[in-house]
Amino acid sequence: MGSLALQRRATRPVELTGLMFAAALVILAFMLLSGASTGGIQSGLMFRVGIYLGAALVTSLLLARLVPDADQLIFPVVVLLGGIGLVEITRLDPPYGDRQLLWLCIGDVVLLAATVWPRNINRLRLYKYTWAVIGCFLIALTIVHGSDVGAAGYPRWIGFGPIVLQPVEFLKIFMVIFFAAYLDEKRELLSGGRLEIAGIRLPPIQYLIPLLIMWGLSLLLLIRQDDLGSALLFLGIFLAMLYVGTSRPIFPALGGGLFVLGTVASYFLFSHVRLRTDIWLNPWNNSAGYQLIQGLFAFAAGGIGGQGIGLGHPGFVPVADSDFIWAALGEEIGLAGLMALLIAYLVLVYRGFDIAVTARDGFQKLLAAGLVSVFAIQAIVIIGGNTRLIPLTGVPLPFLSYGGSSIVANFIIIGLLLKVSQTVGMGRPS
Amino acid sequence: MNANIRRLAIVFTIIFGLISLDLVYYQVIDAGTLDNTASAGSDCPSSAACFHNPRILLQEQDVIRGGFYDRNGTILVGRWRKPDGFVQTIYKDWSLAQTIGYHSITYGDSGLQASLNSYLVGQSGTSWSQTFNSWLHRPVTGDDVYLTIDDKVQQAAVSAIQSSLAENGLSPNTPAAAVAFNPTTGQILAMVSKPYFDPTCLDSESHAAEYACYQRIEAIPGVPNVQASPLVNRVTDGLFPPGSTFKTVTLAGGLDTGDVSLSDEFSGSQATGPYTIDGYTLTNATSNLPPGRTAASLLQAFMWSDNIVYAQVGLKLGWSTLLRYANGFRLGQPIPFDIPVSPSSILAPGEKHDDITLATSAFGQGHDQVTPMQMMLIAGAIADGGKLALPTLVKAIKTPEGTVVKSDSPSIHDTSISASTAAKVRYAMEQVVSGYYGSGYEAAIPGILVAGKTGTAQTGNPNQLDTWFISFAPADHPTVAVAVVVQAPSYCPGLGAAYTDSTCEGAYISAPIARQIMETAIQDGD
Repeated sequence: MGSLALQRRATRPVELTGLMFAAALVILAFMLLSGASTGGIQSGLMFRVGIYLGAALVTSLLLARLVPDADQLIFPVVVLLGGIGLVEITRLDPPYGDRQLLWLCIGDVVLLAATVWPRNINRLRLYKYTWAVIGCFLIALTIVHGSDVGAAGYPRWIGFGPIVLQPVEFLKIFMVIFFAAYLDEKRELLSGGRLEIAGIRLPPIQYLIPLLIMWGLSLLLLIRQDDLGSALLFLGIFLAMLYVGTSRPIFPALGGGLFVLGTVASYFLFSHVRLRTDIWLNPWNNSAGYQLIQGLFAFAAGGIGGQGIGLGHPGFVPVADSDFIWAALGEEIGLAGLMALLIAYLVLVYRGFDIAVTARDGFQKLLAAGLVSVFAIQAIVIIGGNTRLIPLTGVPLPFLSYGGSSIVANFIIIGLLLKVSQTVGMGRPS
Repeated sequence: MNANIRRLAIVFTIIFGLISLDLVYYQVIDAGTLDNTASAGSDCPSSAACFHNPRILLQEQDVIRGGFYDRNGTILVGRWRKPDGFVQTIYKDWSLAQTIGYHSITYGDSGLQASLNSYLVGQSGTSWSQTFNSWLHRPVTGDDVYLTIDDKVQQAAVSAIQSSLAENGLSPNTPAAAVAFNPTTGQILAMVSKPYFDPTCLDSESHAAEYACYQRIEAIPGVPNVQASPLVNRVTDGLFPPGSTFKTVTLAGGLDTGDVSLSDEFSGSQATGPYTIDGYTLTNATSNLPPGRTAASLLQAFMWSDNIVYAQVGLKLGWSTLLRYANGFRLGQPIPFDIPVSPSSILAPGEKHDDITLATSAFGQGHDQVTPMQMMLIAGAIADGGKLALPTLVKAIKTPEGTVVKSDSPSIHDTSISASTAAKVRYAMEQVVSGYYGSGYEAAIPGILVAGKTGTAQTGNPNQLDTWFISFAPADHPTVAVAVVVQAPSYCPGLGAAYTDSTCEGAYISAPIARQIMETAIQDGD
């Protein structure tokens, strides 16, 4: 296959140009950090940014051989987001910054791996129930055997020797593949249907079972793990894909409604859900609102232009390097910087949906739309939590937050997206 | 399927838009409030749900706040950088606590610390070095403030209040206020509001320490009928009935219209009472005539402080004329000053313009409510021949390089009275101090002509009086005008057998305080 790629082109010019822009911004950010702490250029920091950007460049050159026709804008945006996250984490906690750098390099490798295997993306659909079973197994294992590495108050991590994983991050990929395959197969059945309840046409009841399982799984995460973020993420992905697959807005409406009902019931049944909601509605009157309020102080301190990288005090916000990286960035790069990052996310999301629109078959469309929805929903859940749009819940912000599992999982998703775009030749010059 | 994908993209875009609006709210619209959240939450600062923006404390370390000096360069408020970087504000003494004010992370700023804050933190934009340092995130040194206060006069006022309270057998906690200024320039020389407090500890490195300091301030004891309220500046915000000192305004109005003259004679019940207005009777006790006297001229009635006579002057003037002259002295008008001043009034809002209120207001009871600042301005306007100099407290503000960025300029206003009326009132006030049986004899200074007026106002509480003295000296070329009020109990145990009764009066308590302030100001005058 390498020979085939080499016959095509050796470079991807748009991607390289994009990478140069991303690299310029990341280098500038590291120089600002360096200047803020010592007043000069620190070789240590420059060495780190060199590794990061060098790895990205090598990855880009390899992509030109492995998936020459894949989309060329996605990777530069990822490098920009990852680089800004890296500089902020390094600024907040240098040892964590080094670990994040390692994870980003590993991310480049898994990205490349995901473009090599599977050779044919449609082979993934053959094992759809396997993915679903692995996913459910991961959840079960976490609940039964998990440890609380991140001090979330609930076991959300699993240790494999020295490596600690956050299974929820990988679960989302398995779930998207499973839904894409399942929905594409059962699309006709789910769109039609003869059963009618309260004026709503429903498909045969056995096909609704996955919907109910997802609803239950989300609530289980919410109640058992106090993981509203993951619950929202899974439900959101599922409903988005259900809508794309069936063209019936009633399904997401129904599913969303059921989840709201379940959440309201949990509010009355479970004290931790109640506390979370109370903090959201009135953080000022609740000592547990501390983190959220400190986050708001950070946003305010940033203002429009930001304090400058390394010049603010985002360390006052607990877990600023993961759940509250958005607030930390808000203080240091300001509203202008955050808007730029939001636009970067939107570029990523729009390229992803473009891939979905141009994809060859239903499975690939659903797969691409589902995978890119992961980024969009995850960003909305954690940013919205930081800014009190929705109750605060801890999920990593894609590419920006510290976290090995999150970085690796998200780079796999990028690899899969590139793979889908390669099959239609999106990056080919027209 | 493609249409659905596009709709989904639009949904996400809309949500991203909502997030942007949320960010605009917190980073721009609400940012000022959040930036300055010194304490917020339920039941701050005692409860656990009390949130402080910790950046405020840190920013404090980036600013070496400006200091305060008196008119001769004596340091009043300094600051020093502790080894840990915290810049601590230190007050020379507490007597200007309410006027200079405190600077606190938890409780904000008060007094001049609040009104001059942009100068004190070096953000008035006048000094390039301050602007550069601020851009470069280096510590900024604020501007220094030179007050018109003369520390020697200030200290004289403090010790005069203490000794007068002690001599009259009153509690040292007795609330009191004294203020002195130069009536031709308006520059304040001394300003004391008792009890004062320690403003230094309100500027601490932790909210807990400031909270503890605040608790100590709240615990400062008052006297049986009056709360201590140490945070209140009684000079500018204390509202008291002026008592007989208000006769100065009534007399000035009456002489200026020509309705009365100093030689007008009042005799019999017109001088001694009882005198009845619309069924309300003023008794003999309010005439204050010397023993054996049954008649008094308008001048003598002023010297002896005869309420019966001045009730009649008030009735003769009528409401509109009395109010016009009162307004001319800024009563009921806002008084522009470096810190806020509560406006004084002689009619409560919605109060009836009836004759009883008019007659009692004319001798300073009625519904009159005045600040010591206001009464000092009245004395100053008489002293300055009918010109009213508005008070100023800030002589100059200088950058760390010594450049003057703001300096005092006198602001003189006309009252409603002519210079000749002012001269007549001044003569009457001289007689209060030096005339036969004049009530203000305790204010006399050997070799210096002193003009003054006593006042002893009844309060809502029969056991509580407000004892006043307003004065200026030297009467022929005044350099200092003073107002003193002491919230005294009606019984003064220190007066002893030499006095006919032991009622606390402005003559015994406040006049000696005014005398010592004037003496020091004249000796020390520049």
